[in-house]
Formats: sequence, structure tokens, C-alpha cells
Amino acid sequence: MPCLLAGQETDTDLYSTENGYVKFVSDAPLELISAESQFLRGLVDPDKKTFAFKLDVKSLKGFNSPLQQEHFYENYMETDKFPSATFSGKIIEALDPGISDWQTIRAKGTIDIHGVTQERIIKCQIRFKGNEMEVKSDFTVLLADHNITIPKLVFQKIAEEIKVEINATLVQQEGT
Amino acid sequence: MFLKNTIFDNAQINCALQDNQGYLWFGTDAGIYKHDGLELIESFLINESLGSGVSCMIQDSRENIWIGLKNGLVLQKKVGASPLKFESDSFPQKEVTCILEGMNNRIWFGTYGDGLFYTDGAGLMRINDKQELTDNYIYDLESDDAGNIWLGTDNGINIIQPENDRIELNQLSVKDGLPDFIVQCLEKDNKGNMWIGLYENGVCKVDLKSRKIEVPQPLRNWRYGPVNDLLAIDNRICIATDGKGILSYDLNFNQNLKFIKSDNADLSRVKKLFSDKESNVWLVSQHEVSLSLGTKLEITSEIDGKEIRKVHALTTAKDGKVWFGNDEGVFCFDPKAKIEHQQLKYYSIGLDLKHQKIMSLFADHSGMIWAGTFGQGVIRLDPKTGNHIQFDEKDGLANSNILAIEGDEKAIWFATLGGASRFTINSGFGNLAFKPHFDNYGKSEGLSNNFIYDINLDENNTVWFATDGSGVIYFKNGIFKPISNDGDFSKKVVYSVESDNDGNVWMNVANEGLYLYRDEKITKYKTDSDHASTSFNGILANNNHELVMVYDQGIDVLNVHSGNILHFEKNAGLESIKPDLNTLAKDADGKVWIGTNSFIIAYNATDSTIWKNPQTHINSVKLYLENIDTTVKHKFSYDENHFSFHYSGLWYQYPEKVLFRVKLEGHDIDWIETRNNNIIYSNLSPGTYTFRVTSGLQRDFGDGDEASFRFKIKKPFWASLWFILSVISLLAIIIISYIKIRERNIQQKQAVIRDRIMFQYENLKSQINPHFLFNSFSTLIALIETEPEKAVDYVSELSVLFRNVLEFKDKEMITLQEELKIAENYLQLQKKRFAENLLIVWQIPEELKISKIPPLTIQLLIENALKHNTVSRDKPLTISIVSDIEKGYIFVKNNLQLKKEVLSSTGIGIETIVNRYRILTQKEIIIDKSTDSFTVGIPIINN
Repeated sequence: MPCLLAGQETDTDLYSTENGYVKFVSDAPLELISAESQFLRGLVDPDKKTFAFKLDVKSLKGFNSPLQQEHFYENYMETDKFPSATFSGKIIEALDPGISDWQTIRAKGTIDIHGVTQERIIKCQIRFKGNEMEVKSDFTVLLADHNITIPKLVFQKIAEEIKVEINATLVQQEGT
Repeated sequence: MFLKNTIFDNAQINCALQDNQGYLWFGTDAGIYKHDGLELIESFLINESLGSGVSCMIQDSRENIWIGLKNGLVLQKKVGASPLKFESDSFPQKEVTCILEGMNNRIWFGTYGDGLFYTDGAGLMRINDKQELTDNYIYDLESDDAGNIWLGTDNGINIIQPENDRIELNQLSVKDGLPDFIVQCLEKDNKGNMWIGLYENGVCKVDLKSRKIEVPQPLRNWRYGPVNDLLAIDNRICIATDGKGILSYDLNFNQNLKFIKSDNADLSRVKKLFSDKESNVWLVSQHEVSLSLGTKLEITSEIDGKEIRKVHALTTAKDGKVWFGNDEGVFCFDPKAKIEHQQLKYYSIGLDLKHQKIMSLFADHSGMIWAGTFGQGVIRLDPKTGNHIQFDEKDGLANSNILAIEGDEKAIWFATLGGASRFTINSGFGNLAFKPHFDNYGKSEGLSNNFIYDINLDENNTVWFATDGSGVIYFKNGIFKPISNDGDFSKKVVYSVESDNDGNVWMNVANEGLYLYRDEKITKYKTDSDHASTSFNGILANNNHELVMVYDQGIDVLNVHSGNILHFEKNAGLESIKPDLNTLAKDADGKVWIGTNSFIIAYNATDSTIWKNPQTHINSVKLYLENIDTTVKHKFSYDENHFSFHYSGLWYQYPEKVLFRVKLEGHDIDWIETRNNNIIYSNLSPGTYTFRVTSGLQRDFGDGDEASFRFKIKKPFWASLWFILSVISLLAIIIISYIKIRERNIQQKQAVIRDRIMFQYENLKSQINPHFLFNSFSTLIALIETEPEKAVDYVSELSVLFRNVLEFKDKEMITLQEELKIAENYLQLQKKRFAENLLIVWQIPEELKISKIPPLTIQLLIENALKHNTVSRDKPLTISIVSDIEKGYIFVKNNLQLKKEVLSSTGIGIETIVNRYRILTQKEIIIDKSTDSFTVGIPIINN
């Protein structure tokens, strides 16, 4: 995890997690596929307004059959070549840990899925609670944006647009 | 218009510009492309060493094109050269997103994540953000009138005030009232505002002086998504949104926010907007570029949620409202009303309009609306109350079919199928119950035909009538007169007549088109459009010296002064509009309103720049198939004689309409008119040529923009002056040399002849040498005394000698035998004198005797030997005549015993022999004089 923000000074309090929740849903005409992971890793620096999240694609479980899961890993996501998905960048709005209500902020950065990066601005809900920061977001990912090609035979089973839901509680790390 | 090119299929378009010559440039992921609206002119691909696509570009005031790449590199393209990496020690680490030329030719570069850079010509400098910029992600740059540079970033606006070398920085942020942090675009208008396009919450403006931020009312509660780009043009702000299309915000009186739509292009995600010199608006999407004609035409297909259908008649009222009638009724709307107040108001005129068509509409001076119908007379409508009243033949109208209504403060005229009716406005007019009086005019009054199609009132109170088969008739001072008694024109069917402010009367003649009546002369007016041979559906002169002409496929606008015509057809999104006869009207602002089958179109009088001719440029000159650099190469050799020229007439609003005339001066006698944008000349003979091309929209090219290229084809070397001169001089040298050689030969021959004469003379002289004679005579006397018989012999030998000398002296060559005979003969005579004291040795082989020798050569040598040497008993003289065949010589040798007294010697003897031999043979005469012998070697000449 430190590698994500390597080179940055760490004299401020960082919030991090190793077990954020990610869910993805593909709602195609013929089949609804969903998968979840409890292993989203994330790091947020409220002072510098930067963030980084990373997901091991193979930690996504669920699917409708083991064969489907294997197809997903190997044929679509090509996890051998691209084992992880990342999203890192900066936060547009100022984060105020003094406010305990939900704040809507925009995370702007590069999302890397299937080895293809896209510049995105993603809206998130953030709430500070003690030494924790709760992050919630949902957004969509277009398969075409990330060069994920679906064979003609199964395209009615996989949606072109994947809905992604994130829910993570990041814990403040004690200053070093 | 819709510009799609295969070059854009695979490479995303990121930016565009119009250069100072008028060409368009597109920057894509693959490179930059130059376009003339019809075709690609030139392209420069970004090669692998440069790495990535073009993200932005500008042309600076020095005509350099600056190109920013996605990987942070900056390229510079100087005029006439290819783009090159700008010389700099450092480059941004991130994409260059925007470039701007600021004051003092400083070029500014915004990057996506690496802050702001600039250059003053040498190297790129970075503005350090540590203390200054609020964010390093810069989307757009814009300068204000004071020379400040505005930066749109992810964290508000930064304003840089470059004062001398110090840079002052100000910020505008959310806490100053900016509706969003992310500022995606900036655009300065000409009213002192900076317009800001945001990621969220739309558009706001900043007053440049007070820096106050304001969101104008129509732009509040934004629901159109992120703003990709803004363009200020013609008192409007065009807004390109990311996903919701193009919006136009009117800065003038009504401040409406409207969508700009296009049937043939997807405008939902336009990324960049720019305007060209013709005030067209260009819309750049990811893989296509579209053109909007800007604000010249406003095309409305629905008002207040209601679709426009089949307009039969249209007019404008003094209050600015537009009235139109169709099969559903009479409608009115106020084009100046704010969009939220926009209403389409319906008025009943008490008729079933499905069966009783409205043919004409007129709003009179007092605000009353007159609706002419087909068969039901005219209905007068009071817009205030909605009350209406109908007049027809029973009320005194000439006819109940009303084709047109026209009027002023004094009278209203009705054009009917039964002549014209005039209603004079008087005091009772305001009263609805008032029964009007109509004066009717028909054949008997001098309005020679009963069918009147159109009436027009001009500024001088003349009323013009367009008739069915009687041409145009005018009414002045109570008298009707045809404009022409000419049998031809006075029988024409004229649909409409229109007078303008310039004293012209325009006539729209059935199946023929436009005629002009001016200074009592009628001329057919060449409009030169594709439908010139047919008539228009309607014509109208506006207040800007323009004549608007409508027809089934579109609208033409004629500039009355220049004769230029603008066409609005499919280029403007109009196709098959099929306007009816009375659907043209102008409002108080000079706007022309046109009702068609599915639109209401407003034409705004164009400013003078629109009437500029297309700009003409020669794109390339090819020699055979190779491009040549026209800036340096103007001279060609005689076999470089196959040229092709490719040229453009830049006229983006309708490029297909551009006509060219070309001429190769020195080759073509006349101009060639063509729509082709290239021409080939082959086998040009040597000479000086000027290729000239003019582009225009009409066949009358007038003051059209011209481009030219002058060049020279040189004569072949063998036809060039220097070559001819050298050949002449060479010939002269040859002739002179020939003459010289010949002269020398003649001189040599003469020398031979002279030598021979001299030789003969010498011989003769020697023969009659007094000594010889004296000696001979002495010998003879002695012989006569002692041996008279021998004396006889002696005399006969003497005579033989003289006879031989006389015989051979004229010959050039004799045989050696003959020569030896002479020599023997001579020696015989001398022997008589010297007896045994003279010894002769002969040693010449027989075979040598046929060789040739100049006559008297040996004789002369013997004579010489006798002349110079003592011959006595004590000192006998031996003369040997021997040959050396190996050497090829005959030697005449004597022992040397020179006489004491020197006998007069001419010295000519041996010398003449030497000279003669020099001419005859290359072998030299050998003269060998030792202490005791003298030898002369004569070369043997074999024939």
C-alpha cells in the first residue's frame, strides 16, 4: 500500500483501509451478474486532498457459476496481465474532518481497469466519525472505455455498462 | 454543413483553428491536418519519436502554429515548414491542454497537472505553483483587455498579471461566488465580461473590471451537465455541453437560452467551438466536425411546444409580433419575448380554414390584421379584442379571392383575381361597425388585366402591380401605366414585384426568374444560381440593400450593390422548404421572416464581412507529380514542362458553390471557368508564364480574390543564347583555322615554287658562271689547238649539259638516274680541265636509280665542292657519290682543302637544297663538316 503514495511526505494524518467493500453489477437483458469484494485497499490524505484505491480483481467473488467467474477473470479482465484495478488522484473539494455530516465531494483522477486508464470525476459521500472516515460511492464503468471486449455470443448476458458500488471505512493512522 | 473525413475515423479530433489565410487546421491523435472545407490539403503526422497526439494548437501573430501534445511536448510550425519540436531544455511532464498568445508575443501553455509554462521565444519557462497557482490542472487560458492571463483550473480561476518580469497572481474561487471549483473553459465577450464554463452548475460571467461573479437568470438551475467550451459570437454565447448538446444564450434584449439543433450531425458531445472569418460556428466533436451558419438564419420548427405546419401567409406587425396563417388558423407570436414567456397565440377568423385557405396577411398601421382568403374575401381582425369582420364582393370588393394585401397610413390595396381594390383609410376606421368603401380598378381603369398577383408600394407613393400576363403596371398620380409597351414584356406573367431603397424595382417573372426595372429600362437579372431559369416563390427587399428570394429548395440573398448571392440550402439545413407566395415579411429591425412548410425562418441582414468573396489560394504546384516549393522555385528547364495547379476558394458556408476562373498567361488566351479545384498543363513550351486563379460565387468575378504563380521555363541549352554564341564562335575558329592552314599551305607551296625558281636561277647562274664559262672556253681553246676532235666532243658535251639543265629545271622531281647523268656529264666537262687531279667515286646501286630527286641537286653539290676546294696535282680532290640504303641516304663527300681566297658565295646553294627537302620529306639533309672532309647526305625519296 505505501507504494501508491510513494514519494509523498507522510507528516500528516492519513486515513487507510485494507478491507473496503466493492460490488459490481452487470444488468444485461438476459442475465444479472453481480460480484463483491471485501478487500478494497485505500488511502486518503485530507490535507493534501489526494487519494488512492486499489482492488485485487481476483478478490471479487459471487457470479452465477464458477465457470462464469473463471471467464470473468481470464477472458474479460485478463487478470494474469492486469491483476488489479486502481483509482487515484485528487479531491476537488476541501475535506473538513470537523464536520460529522455526510459531505459530497468529487474525486478526480485516473481509473485503471484492464490496463486501460481513464480520466474520471467521481462523486463520493464522505463522513468523518471519530478517527474514521466513511466513504460511499457508486458510479458506472463503460466496458468499451477500458477495452474490455465481450464475445458476440454472450453480449446479451453482460451489460456494456457496469455499475460499481463502493463502501469503505478508512481509519486514521497515527502520525509517525 | 457536416464535415466528416476518413482521417477522423480512427483518430480523435482534439482541437481546431482557422489560420490567417483562412484554412482550417484540425489537431487529432494522429497529427495535424489542413483543410479547405472540401478536401484535405496537407497533413503532418506525429511520428513515433514525438510520441503522442495533438491536444491543442494556436496560430500566433507571427503566423507560427504552436502545437501542444498529450505527452507534454510543444511543437512549433513555422510558415512553410514542418512542425518541429520547440527548442527547450525542459518540457511539461503532463499534457499541454491550452495555448494562448499574451502581450508582447509571449506564448502561454497550460498543462493538465504540471502547471503553467510560457516562452518569450527561447525555451519554455515554468510558473512555479508552490506559492502561487491554486491548482496545476489547467483546462483553458484566456486573456482580458488588460493583458491579464486567466486560467481555468480544477480549483477555480487564477488570474496572472504579467507586469514586466514579475508575475502577480489573483484568484477567483468558490468562496468568491464561483458556482463550482472546476473551471473547464473561459471566453471573453465584447461587453467586458469573462464567461466561465464549469464542470457543475453551468455557466457564469465575471465582470472584468469589478471581478464580480454573476449567473444570469436564464442560466440558473443548470441541468445540462459539464460545459466543454464557450464561444462569444454576434451577441451570443454558444455553450457546448458534455452530453446535452449546444445551447445558445442571447445577450441581447430577450436573453433567451435555446438549443441549437442539427438534423445531420450529433452535437450532443461537442468538445470545442470556434468561429471563422465568415462568422460561421464550427463544432468539433470526437470524430466529426460540423458547421453552423451562425446567426444569419434562425430556424424555428416549434414555438411554445407547437410544431410549425404549412404556413400559407406571414406578416409582421409594427409592435414586432409575427403573424402567420395556416390550415389551422391565424397565429401570432412575439419573437422578442423571453423564452419562458414565449407564446403562440391562436386567433379565430370565423372560417373553416381546411376548406377556405388563407392566401395573404397584412398588419396595417393601426395594428389591425387583414387576412385575405381564397373565395371568402378579406377578414379584418382586431388583435386586442379578437373581434373580426369579413368583407367580400357584396361589400364592394372587386373580387373575393385575395392574393395579396399591401398598404400604408393612407390606403390599403388588395390584389384579387378580379383586379385591385383600394380602401382609403379615414376617420371612421377604428369602428368595427364601419362599412368601408372600396375603389376598384380593372381593365377599364387601365389595369389591363384582371388577375393581380402582387402589389407593392414604394417610397414615392407609386403602386406597382404584378399581373398575370400583362407584365408590371404602376399607378401614379391617378393613372395606371405599364412599365413597358414592349410587346414581349407586357405579356409576361409576373408573380411578385418589389421596390427597394436603391430605386430598383425587382420583378419575379414566371418560368424566367428575376427582372430589374431601373431608369425606365427592363433587364433580365442574372442571378446565376442553379434555378436561375425558373421563378422564385417570393422576393423581398430588406433595409440593408439585400433582396431575399425564396424558392422550393431554399433561400437566396442578393446583395443589390455587389451582385453577390448567398445561398442557404442544404448547407443551412434547409431542403424542400416549399414556401408559399405570401410568406415573406420584414420587421422593424430589418429582419426578414419567412414561413415555410415546416419552419419559420428569420434572416438577419448580414454585416459587410459576409459579402467578402471567397479567399483564393494556390495550394500546390506540381511538376509532373512532385510538389514544388513555390516560394523558391520559379525557373524550370525546357523538359520540366508538365504542371498541375491545385487551388482553393475558401468559402465555408457553401464550398460547393465556389466557382473558379483560371488562366495561364502566356498559354491561355481567355479565362477558363470551372468548378474543378485543379488544372493540368502539359508540354508547355519555353517562356514566361503566370498562373492566375480567382474564386467567386458568380460568373461575374468582379473584384474576386486572386492568387497567382509566376514561373519561367527556360529554353533548352541548344536554343539558349550562350550555346548559339559558342557554336558560332567555334565555327568561326574552325573556319579561320582552315583559312589559316590553307593560307600556310599556299605560302609553303609558294615557298617551294620560290625555292625552285631560286634554285633554277642558281643553277642557271652557275651554268653561266663567268668562271665556268671562262674555264670552259679556256679548255675549249686549248683543245681546239691541240686536239680539234676532242674539242668537238667537248662542245657537244657542254651542249648536252645545258640541254639537260634546261630540260629538267622546270621539273619538281626527276629520277636519280637522270640526275646522275647530268652530274656525270658535268664531271666529264670538269675532268677535261682537272684531268687526274679530280677523282670521282661512284657507288650507287642500280635499284636506287629509280628513286626521285629534285633536279640538279647532286650537280650543285659537285659544283660546290669544286668551287670551294683546291684541285691540283699536289692536292687532288676526291668526290665520292655513295649511297647508304640502310640509312636511306645518298652521300656526296669530298676531302676538304679549302681555297685560300674566298669565292663569292651566295650561300644559297646548300640552303635551297635544305629548304626543298624540308617540304619534300621529313628526313633532314645531313651536313657533316669535319677538318678534312665535307659530306652532304641527301635523303632517298622513293616515289
